Amino acid sequence: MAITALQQRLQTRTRNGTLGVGVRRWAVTLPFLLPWIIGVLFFFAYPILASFYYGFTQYDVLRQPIWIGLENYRQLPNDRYFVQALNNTLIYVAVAVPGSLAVGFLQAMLLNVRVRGQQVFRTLALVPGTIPIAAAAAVWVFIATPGPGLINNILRLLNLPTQTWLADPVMVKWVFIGMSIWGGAGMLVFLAGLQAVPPELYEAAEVDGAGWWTRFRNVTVPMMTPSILFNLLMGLIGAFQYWQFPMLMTQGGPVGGSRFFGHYIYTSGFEFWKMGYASAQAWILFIICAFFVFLIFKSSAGWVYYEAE
Amino acid sequence: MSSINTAKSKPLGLHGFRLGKKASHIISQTLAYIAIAIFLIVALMPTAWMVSTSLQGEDQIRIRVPIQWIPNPATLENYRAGWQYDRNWALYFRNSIFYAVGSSIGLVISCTLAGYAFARMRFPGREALMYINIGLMLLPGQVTMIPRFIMFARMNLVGTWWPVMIPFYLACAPYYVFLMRQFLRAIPMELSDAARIDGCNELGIFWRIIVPLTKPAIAVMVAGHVTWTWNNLLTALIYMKPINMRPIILGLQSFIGVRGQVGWGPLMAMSVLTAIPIVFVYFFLQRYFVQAFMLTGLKG
Repeated sequence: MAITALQQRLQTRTRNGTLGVGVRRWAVTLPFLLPWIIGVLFFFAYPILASFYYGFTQYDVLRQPIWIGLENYRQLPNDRYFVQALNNTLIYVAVAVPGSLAVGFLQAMLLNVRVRGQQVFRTLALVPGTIPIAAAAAVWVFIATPGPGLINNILRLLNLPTQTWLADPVMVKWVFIGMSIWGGAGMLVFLAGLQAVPPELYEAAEVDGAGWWTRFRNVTVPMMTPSILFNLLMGLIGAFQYWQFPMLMTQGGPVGGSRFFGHYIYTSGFEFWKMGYASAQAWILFIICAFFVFLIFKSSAGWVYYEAE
Repeated sequence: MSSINTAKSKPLGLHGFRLGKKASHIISQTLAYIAIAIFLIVALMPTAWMVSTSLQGEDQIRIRVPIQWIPNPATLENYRAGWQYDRNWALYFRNSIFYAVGSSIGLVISCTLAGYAFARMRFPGREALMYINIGLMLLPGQVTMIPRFIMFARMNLVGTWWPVMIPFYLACAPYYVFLMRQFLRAIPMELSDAARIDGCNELGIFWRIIVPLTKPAIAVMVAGHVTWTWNNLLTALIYMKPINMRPIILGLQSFIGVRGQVGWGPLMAMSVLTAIPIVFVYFFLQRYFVQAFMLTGLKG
């Protein structure tokens, strides 16, 4: 008996032996995964390390990078353009991310209500998201323009004072924040999440006499927390890199009122050719993002609900 | 059950709960319609404004209050003027389409392969590599942007299509690798096992069994990626400024810059034109969207 058990164990060892089988499995996997591996090595791993190194150098691409230690990082807090860009970005993230997620959630809720014509409404709701940002930027410049612009027209209609919007150094970032909230974020992910909530849960809650608000509070929201977590992470990372609309509409102006982090990194690197300085900024951005991602993941154990499979 | 409860707690006239339920149904439906209508009006207002302005003459655009939504008379003059202002529009469109199609092909092939490996193959280190992929989803593009540029510059490839195409043939889109993996995981393993018993090898299973089932995920990927290429200002500014590569986003950017000379009408007309291809793509692919997001799920 003991001998057969030993034999069996030996046999399973060789059959599942870590090395032999592992190598064989990798041989089958490699054709599928090779492009990904090369991509990660050349376009992620090496660039991440290289940009870390460039952050400690002075580098204008034409000459070799010169090691200057922490000089770039020391310079950053005294660079008022950088500080302004950082401030604008933090305000943008703090307001636009929760705002646009709330709007996206609301949009998904509305499109999930069972009414006649739901399919048509869903198609129509997708339209604003399909407008290319350059076209949207042109439209928003027109909407916010002081003369024949749409917003000021509406204000005139209501006999309210008109504003200069994009020409005002303080107001300009709020125009961008407002644009982002108006558009909403993550609607499709939320909608898919809502449809995945088992109807039995709502029925059970109804049987218990739960009203609309209680059902929302105690069924919908907990079941949606995985979607919220996902959208929150993606939204946060996206918001920290926000710069396309300001670049297209105001070039960061007036007086830097709409200069954001991503914009300043681009300007430092590709307009002033200070690659070292730009890399240092990119790493600061990276660290800030990583910090928030860590914080959200850490806290998610407390508020994200995963249904037992 | 619920009807009994309702009837007990709120007696509602002759027909009891039935009437109450019907009335409340009508009220809630009406409220839903009103809410949806408000949402759609607010959401579609800028788009409607863009299309409407593009069809109006200069004299109509100048009129302010009340806002004129229906162009009267409608004119295509803005489209002609906008198209002629910059004689390279056709070239910009060609470049954008080439960029979108060329990189989409690479993206679909490489991400489906990688997603398949992560979802349906067993190999040591799979979980660790997947964690790397998820980490890369959260990496800001600015970190890799500069070394990538320097790398391409050293290889003398800046000014060619290579820098904007190669990464997509190497699955440098962690988000789509993840999406594909989530989607493929939801397809029952029995399908693969049955094929394996029939003597099908891994590539055969992938190509004949799995790929035909991935249409919704590919639709999401293509729609998302095409929109992204259309919107990708960063790559365009770094690599695509030469006229023979310049995409429409840069064409429209300089158009916004000279809006004082061109006028609002032609600017809106060209904005509409740039939007049409994307609206087209979404129109054809949208029926797959919710389906794909539902199947992928967001669980680990």
